Amino acid sequence: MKKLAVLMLTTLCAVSSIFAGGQSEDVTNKSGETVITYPTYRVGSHLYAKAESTLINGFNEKYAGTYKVEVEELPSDQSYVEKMKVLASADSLPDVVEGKNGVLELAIKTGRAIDLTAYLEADPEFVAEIGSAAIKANTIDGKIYSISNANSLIGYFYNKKHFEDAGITPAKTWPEFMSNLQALKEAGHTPISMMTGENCWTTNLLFAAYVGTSEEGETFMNTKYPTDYDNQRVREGLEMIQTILQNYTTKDAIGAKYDIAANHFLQGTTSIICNGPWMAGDFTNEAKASADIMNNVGIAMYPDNGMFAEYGHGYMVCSEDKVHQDAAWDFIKYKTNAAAQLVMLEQGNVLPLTGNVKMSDEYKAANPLLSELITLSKDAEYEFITLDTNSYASVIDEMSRDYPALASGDITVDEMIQDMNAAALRSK
Amino acid sequence: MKQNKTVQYLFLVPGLILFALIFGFSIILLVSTSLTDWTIGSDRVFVGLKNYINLMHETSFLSSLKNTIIWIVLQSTVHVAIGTSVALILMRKKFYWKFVRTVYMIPNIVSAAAVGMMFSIILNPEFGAVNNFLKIFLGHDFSQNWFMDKSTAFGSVTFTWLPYAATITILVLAEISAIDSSIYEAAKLDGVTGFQEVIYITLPLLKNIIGTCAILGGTSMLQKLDIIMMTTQGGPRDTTMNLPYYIYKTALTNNDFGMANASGVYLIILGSITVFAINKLFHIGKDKG
Amino acid sequence: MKKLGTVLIGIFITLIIIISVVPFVWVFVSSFKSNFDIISGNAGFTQGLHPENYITAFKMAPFLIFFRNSLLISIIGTMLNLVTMSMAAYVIARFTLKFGNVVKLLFTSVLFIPGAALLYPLFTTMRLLNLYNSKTSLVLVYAGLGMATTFYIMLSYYRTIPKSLEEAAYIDGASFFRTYMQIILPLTKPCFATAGVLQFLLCWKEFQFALTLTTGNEVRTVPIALYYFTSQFASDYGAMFAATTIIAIPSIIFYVVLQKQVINGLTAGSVKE
Repeated sequence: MKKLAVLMLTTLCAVSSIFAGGQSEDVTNKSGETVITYPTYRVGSHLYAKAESTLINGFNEKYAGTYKVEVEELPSDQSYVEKMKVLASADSLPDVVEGKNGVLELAIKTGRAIDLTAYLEADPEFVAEIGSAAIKANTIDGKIYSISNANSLIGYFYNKKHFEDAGITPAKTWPEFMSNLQALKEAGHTPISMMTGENCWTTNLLFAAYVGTSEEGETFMNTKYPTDYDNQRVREGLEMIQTILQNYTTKDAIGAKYDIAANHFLQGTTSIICNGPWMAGDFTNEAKASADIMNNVGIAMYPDNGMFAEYGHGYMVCSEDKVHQDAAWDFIKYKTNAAAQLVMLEQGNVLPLTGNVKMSDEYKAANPLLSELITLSKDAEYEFITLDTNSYASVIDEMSRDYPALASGDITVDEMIQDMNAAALRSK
Repeated sequence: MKQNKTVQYLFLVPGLILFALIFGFSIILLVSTSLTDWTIGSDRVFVGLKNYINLMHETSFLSSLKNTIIWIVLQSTVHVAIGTSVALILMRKKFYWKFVRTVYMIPNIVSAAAVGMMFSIILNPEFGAVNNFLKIFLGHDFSQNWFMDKSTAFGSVTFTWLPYAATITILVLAEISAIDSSIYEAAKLDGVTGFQEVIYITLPLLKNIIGTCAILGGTSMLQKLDIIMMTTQGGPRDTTMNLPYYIYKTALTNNDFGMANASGVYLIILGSITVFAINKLFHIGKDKG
Repeated sequence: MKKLGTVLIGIFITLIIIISVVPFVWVFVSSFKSNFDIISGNAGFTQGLHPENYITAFKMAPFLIFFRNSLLISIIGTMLNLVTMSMAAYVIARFTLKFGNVVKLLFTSVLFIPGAALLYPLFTTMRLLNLYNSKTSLVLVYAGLGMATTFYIMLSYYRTIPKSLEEAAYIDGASFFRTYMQIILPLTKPCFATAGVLQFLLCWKEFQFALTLTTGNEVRTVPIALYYFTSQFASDYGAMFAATTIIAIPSIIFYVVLQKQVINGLTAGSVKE
């Protein structure tokens, strides 16, 4: 009889919770606040986690009684993109969505991303805070779907001591870059951190920089979603990467994710890593960087004075009704205005969108690398966006798949280019 | 007992409700959309069997199919054999048996993602424990890239699940514990040795559960996703690509739900063949009286 | 000859123990190392012990809430799964029902329905039922995902129970339901134990659906915690290993306790007369 009781209790529980459980979409919650749903991947060990929670808490405090941001934590970049895709296909995107890795295009395609032009025209003060350059970068067919959240300038970091050992300085030309690698190798160091896993971030930065530091290449890199990678510069770039993967990097670069590439540099094993200024925080973090690395890192532009300069995709409004759209817009403004940019700068080493947000002198003193980067950028001759922003996700995925085979000589550069083209077509 | 037929059918109802809820709608959607051209964000367009035909020309898909079949065969044989052997050894309840039974289960308790992550670190060419050990052992530099080198990738990935057959072991052990001890007593009286006892008495009695394990093991290869995602992502160049991961990639990297669902249907077909074949091999269900 | 057999068995079992334990011990030991020690593959602790890795790990992900949820969902999900499947397996094993084979086929098919292809349909289903972002949705999904395994185990087991027992009960005038409850169920305890453990582990370890069908941390489960340490620019191995240990050790302890109480308790006295 006891078993029967257990059986019935279970069934009763299951059945009753079906009707009582779950959260419905509240227009307002119990306190009458409009709920803004906002998913974020800047949690856990993400470098911007602190800045992110500062801003979210600040917003909730400021607008208590009117708005409440409901955060969904996606624990990794990949899970963020995937969740957004599932939500997009079910036509239930949250109120505020970040457009990374193809999510922007998807939101526009499903017709859920709102054109923000009208909102911007009604708020010239805000427009001044984010700058016309950032707005222009996110204008698609005359419409503005997202507000940029970061200004990325990317060069590469190098180990000053290693460079001294090898008797070299940051290369001014690409042939010099290659001979630098050779010199570093002869001085007993592993020249550069590479990775072929995930989105091949550090590897593709070098590759894209090579492509972008030429006239046709610069245009190529700054035109979104190419479907034909068959050109001279790309070919040479891939050949260069092939050589580097074979001779000038760690053995575990093949298949490596970001953490391995980063750790090799942070521990002084490798001499160069291509990465953005957000990494600077790691260099003074005792838990992450070895003692020799601290205060021993330099920053440089790519040969031929090339540098990555892109305004991040930023945030879109995808709400269905006007109430939520207005609320989402207020949240986005809070998250990207001058005050927010300062928070992101000081807590996340993210460059502001305009020169109006000034770095304090203490900040400059504490973050010499960032200041140097900005100084260097004034001399940049070629500026381009990253491959992640420029190409289809399937192309980058294909590169991750092909780099190991390229390195081991199982495929040729031409075959890799064919694969990349096929991948681009698949995504069209 | 005729009047009990209703009760008997009623006993099926809870299971069927659960099935319909979780899988019914899903399967219908799966099969119907596999016949469409459906990318995320676009409308579905009926295209008949186009997806199925295209898949047959995709090298990635064919590699994934080949690998999956190999893994199914390996898992339903070698893996089950290992698990059963451990069970047969433990059944004699020597001093270590409870310890081994618990310890062997540990890799199954932790999530597949954690296991995958651990293996990537342990097999890391530069600082992984395995290579470090081999460096000392061999006396010279050793930096084999286990997961990413064409020659060792498949083996390394297979190793992350093949020998870990604790589930099989506990299933077989449970079945063994239900065997009537009088059979063994009678056999001992006849002078049967330990080894013969295993071959001629225990194993035949375990035929059903071993067959079940073969099915469970083989079909588990149709769900292996987390480990591959954490270690090789199908690389290098599809050497370790399997069907579930291919479906996942097609859906969430290439945004192509139509093709992904068609691959899913292929997977279901493969699974059905596997179950059918193993059933036939083991004559499961044909009971001794 | 016997000596050789014993030696071989000894080597075999030792290997089994090594491959099961060494990876985890290594991760556990490494969780106290500094990043530098880990990345240089040092066997020792040249930079000393770093237990603060655990504090870092705890700060990064909400482990306690996740553990509570995992426990709840796993227990209820297992109960639901065991009850529904034992009822179905019993009648199919014993009686020739009209659609018996069809039902068997349906439940078996669960084994090879690709999880990845279910994400979107189940997401839609749960939304329709107003169960999105609830522990109930996970309970239902997990009970469903484990259907085939439980069903097969129980089917296999029920077939080995001699019919004589039930026949005796019916002759005594017992009803079908009563026979099931008082005679069959007690006999299948070891089967429940084994299938229960497997189902529990399924609920405990599942990641994809936990992530897709929920949004809030109040509802989420333990496997998601690990992914907090693998975001794109993260590189803190010490914290990651600490997190792996934090997830693994309670799970292992819980399993050991479960095994002692549940399995041993249920397996004793189950020998069929």
